[in-house]
Amino acid sequence: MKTRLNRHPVRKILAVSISAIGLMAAAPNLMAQTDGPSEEVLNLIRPDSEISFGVLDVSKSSYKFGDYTGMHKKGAHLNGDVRVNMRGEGNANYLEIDATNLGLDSRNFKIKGGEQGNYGLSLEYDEISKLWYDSYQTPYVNPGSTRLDLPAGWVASATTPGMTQLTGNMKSFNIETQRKSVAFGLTKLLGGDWDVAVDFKHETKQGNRLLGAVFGNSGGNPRAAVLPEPVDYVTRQFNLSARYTTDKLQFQAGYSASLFDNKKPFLQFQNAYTTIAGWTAGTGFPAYGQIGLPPDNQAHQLSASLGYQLSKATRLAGTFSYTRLTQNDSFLPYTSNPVLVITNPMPRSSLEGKVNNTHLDMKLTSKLSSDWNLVAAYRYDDKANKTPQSLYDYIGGDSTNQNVVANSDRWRTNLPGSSTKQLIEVEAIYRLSAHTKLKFGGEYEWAKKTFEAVSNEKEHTLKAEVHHHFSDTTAGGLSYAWSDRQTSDYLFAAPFAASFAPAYVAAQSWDNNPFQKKFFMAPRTRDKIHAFVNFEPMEKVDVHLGFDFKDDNYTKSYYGLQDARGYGANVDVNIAATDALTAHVYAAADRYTNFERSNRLNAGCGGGKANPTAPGCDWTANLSDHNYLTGLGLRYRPGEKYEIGADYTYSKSIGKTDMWAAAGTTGLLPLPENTNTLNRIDLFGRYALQKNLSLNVKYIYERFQATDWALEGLTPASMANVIGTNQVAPNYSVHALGVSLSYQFK
Amino acid sequence: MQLARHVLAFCAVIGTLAAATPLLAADASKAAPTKVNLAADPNAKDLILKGDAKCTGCHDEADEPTGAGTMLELNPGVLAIGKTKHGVKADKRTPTCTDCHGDSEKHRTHKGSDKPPKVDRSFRPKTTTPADVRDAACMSCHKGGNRMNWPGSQHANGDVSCNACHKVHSKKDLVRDKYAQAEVCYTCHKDQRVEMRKPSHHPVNEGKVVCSACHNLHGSTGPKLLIKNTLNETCYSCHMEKRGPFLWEHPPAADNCANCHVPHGSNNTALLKTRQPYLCEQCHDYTNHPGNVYSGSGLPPNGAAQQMVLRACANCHTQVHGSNHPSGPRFTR
Repeated sequence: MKTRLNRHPVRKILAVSISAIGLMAAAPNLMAQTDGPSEEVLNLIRPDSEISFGVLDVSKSSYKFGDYTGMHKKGAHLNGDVRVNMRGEGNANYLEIDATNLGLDSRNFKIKGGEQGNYGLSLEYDEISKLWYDSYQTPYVNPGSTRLDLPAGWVASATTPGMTQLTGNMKSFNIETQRKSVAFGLTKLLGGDWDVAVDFKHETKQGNRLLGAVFGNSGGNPRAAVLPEPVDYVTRQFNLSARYTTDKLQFQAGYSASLFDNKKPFLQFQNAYTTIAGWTAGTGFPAYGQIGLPPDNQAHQLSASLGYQLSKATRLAGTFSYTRLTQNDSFLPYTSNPVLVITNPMPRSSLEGKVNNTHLDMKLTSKLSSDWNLVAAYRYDDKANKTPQSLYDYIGGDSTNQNVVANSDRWRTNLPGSSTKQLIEVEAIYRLSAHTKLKFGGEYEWAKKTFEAVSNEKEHTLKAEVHHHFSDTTAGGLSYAWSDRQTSDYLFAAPFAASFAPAYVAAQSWDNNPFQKKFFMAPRTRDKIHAFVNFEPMEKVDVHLGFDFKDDNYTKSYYGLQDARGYGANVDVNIAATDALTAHVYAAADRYTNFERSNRLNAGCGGGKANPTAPGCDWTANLSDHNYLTGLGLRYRPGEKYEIGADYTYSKSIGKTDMWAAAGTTGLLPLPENTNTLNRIDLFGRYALQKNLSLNVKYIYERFQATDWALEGLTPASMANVIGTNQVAPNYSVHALGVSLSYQFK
Repeated sequence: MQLARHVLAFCAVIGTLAAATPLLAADASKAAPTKVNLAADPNAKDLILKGDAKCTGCHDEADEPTGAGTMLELNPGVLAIGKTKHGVKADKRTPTCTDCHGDSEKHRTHKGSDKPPKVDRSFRPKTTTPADVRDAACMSCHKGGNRMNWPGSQHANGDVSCNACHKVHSKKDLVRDKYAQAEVCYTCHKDQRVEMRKPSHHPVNEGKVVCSACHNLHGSTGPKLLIKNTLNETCYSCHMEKRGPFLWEHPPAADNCANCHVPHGSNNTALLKTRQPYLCEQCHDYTNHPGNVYSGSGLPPNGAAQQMVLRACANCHTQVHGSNHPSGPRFTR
């Protein structure tokens, strides 16, 4: 029997828990017995504590099954939970310990204590494992490091089929990251209706993700490999607030700091390809390339919030905050390859990035009468990007000498975009009768942006809603919202002209199809419908039916996203058969589709820069995701002696892509569906062996099957210009059985 | 066909449970309810809170669910409040029963075995006490701080009162438990339950992220009850490496994470709305790198188009959230 236990943190946590419990037991004034209520009443009003320890056995290793839960390794795992809740007799002292999954990589431990009504302290430790892939493979010999090397005897080639050492050198390397955080908090009630709160959180995130590491220039001669990106982040968050609270006035002032440090600011990787046409000599194997990883950054925010009761019926609340965001990591060089000639040095050594965010929101709520309520709100959000602009003569993918000609597309100016967004919202709620409530509302949102194709946007929204109680046991509602977003003239070449060198702009005029609108700044109408019914067909049976519909229509986009639509329907049934037996059954289905249109801009179909709307180059794609979910849960607890329960979950999602292309388009074949199917059974039972001791049994069976055409059938050399990874979509059946003993005490 | 089978199975389960309910309840209802004098015991002492004797004279240790169906069964386990912070008498702020339920004199002084008048402020599931009246009981203490924006918030306007989510008399308030909170939210937000079961999802069901990690359910300054002023600011709470500012910004990422991602769950990797390359082709159709129609001809055994398999566009354009590399304007560095 294999065991897996990260002993040291667990031992420490257990020691703290047991010590705390011991201290509590030894402190006579904390838990002293006094004359008063009977033992039966004391059991009903004293907080409960419980410690559980046992073994959890997992039948098979699977990253997907163990993602976030820590149950990814086959074998037996010692595990435990602690829940201590203690209070002083005759005083307001308290101590709470909450520890979950102590034996797994998803462990959490929290301890809180203090004097209720005076002060409180908290300390929390938490782990989150993100298990990306356990089927990833790479020929690089030292995955996880910051400088990736190819194996000795590597045979480079212009394309992957020529890499004779590729397949034999593929080795597994699991891609995962783990977050570990420690958080500390303090609250203190001061005199005069004031209290303060401070909290601090320190988190590390370590492991690997995947990234695409390319040599060459995209759109021309790229050669790439999918490599592990080392992740070594430290984040620190600090919050301090002072609050003043009375019946009429509430005020809060606060300061927040958020600091991000990346201990590994770059990744170097050896070029697996020989120098190809268009690259400068000396950039192919065994040269190295270098990619920048996320830079350190900081955000500091001052905020103030106010709530004031103008009258018994009317309240005004608002928040103002000012945030300064900075980033000033030293730049990496244009290239890490010393053979490449740099004629024009970088204009600066770091970005001196600075963004100031100013936010203001105000809300007025008023009960105008017994039947009318009114809400009016205003929101202002200004992002002032003070990052300086400079002109850079960049090198494409560590592959060529710097291009110094004036009309080169390698001269680029950065575009530090700013925006100002404002929103006005009004909502009226009218009680038509004791059974019927109506809501009418409207929003007007407007925004200004810089360095975008549109400089102004405006959106109107109108909404209406009705809730009605048909009887004591039946209620329903229907809501509808309509939005219309309009923009200033779509200047498709504005970002292009702002970023590229004037000589290049003059020669090219545009680089992205002028008839394509980016959906997030394109005119759009939106319809949203929500409907529901709750009823009780018989006593102790509740039924809920719900329906949602949303449609975004990009009416003025000739190319780009045309329509995005979603439907959802669900039914829930809750049955409280008896006090001992409850059941829950649900089913839901939803469907989301994206319909887009574009153009191949290819002379072969009559298109290109001279004719960007050539019909012979048109194509469309309709992408739809269908999802089905059903579940059933039962709980049976006839008394204090035992309790059993079961949950079944079935989930299926299907991704479909339907393509159309103009007549004459060759090589168009249908795409298979991508499916994910989950079947999961959870069973649990608890049996009281004696008054304070219970036996717990937990069983999980999970079967997951997935298909993904982006992975299937791929070998390391399937793509001529990208080294593959042998990844496969997850498929597994896993059983997990846990047995534990719980000791309850007060 | 498969969907039809599941629907039929679902209906069969519902029908079975519904048919079994009267049978299971039969035993419980066999015992005739005992008529009792419901007037409070005048000699009762406070059990938990100062002055609670006028209530716990009736709602005492006998007030436990037995299935007998008496009036008292309608309010089972009220004493469990003693296990919670609302049961700490030594905290001078702790309310007593009538502070929340109202003076309820007629209810307290009722004599006889028939059903007493309702309390002034009832928090039962089918209460006729308006939501804002119930909320006022809670807000008399719990105002300010995270609840400063409750009046006029989406939940308040929807008559989702405090007790819709919080169970004050329960020894464990599930909405405040990391592992149980989502199920409370799913009571109304059914679509989020579906989304959390999709292959790519935030770990809410796993208990590592809770709804309240991103949403302030009591009202907020941000859209959709988000805890921060904007969506991006909320996302950066955990994903600070995406914050920048970067030398080369990717405008849709800097504008709004939801331009490309869905926050709860997705069929596509990394919570993307749509898979690559089609997502990227909704905005990009460059002369030097046109938006081609990628179909089954780009898949093995017909081919292996690097623009659509493995990481698709991100095989090369990996820094889609922004790049701080001087040679990164095309997000390859």
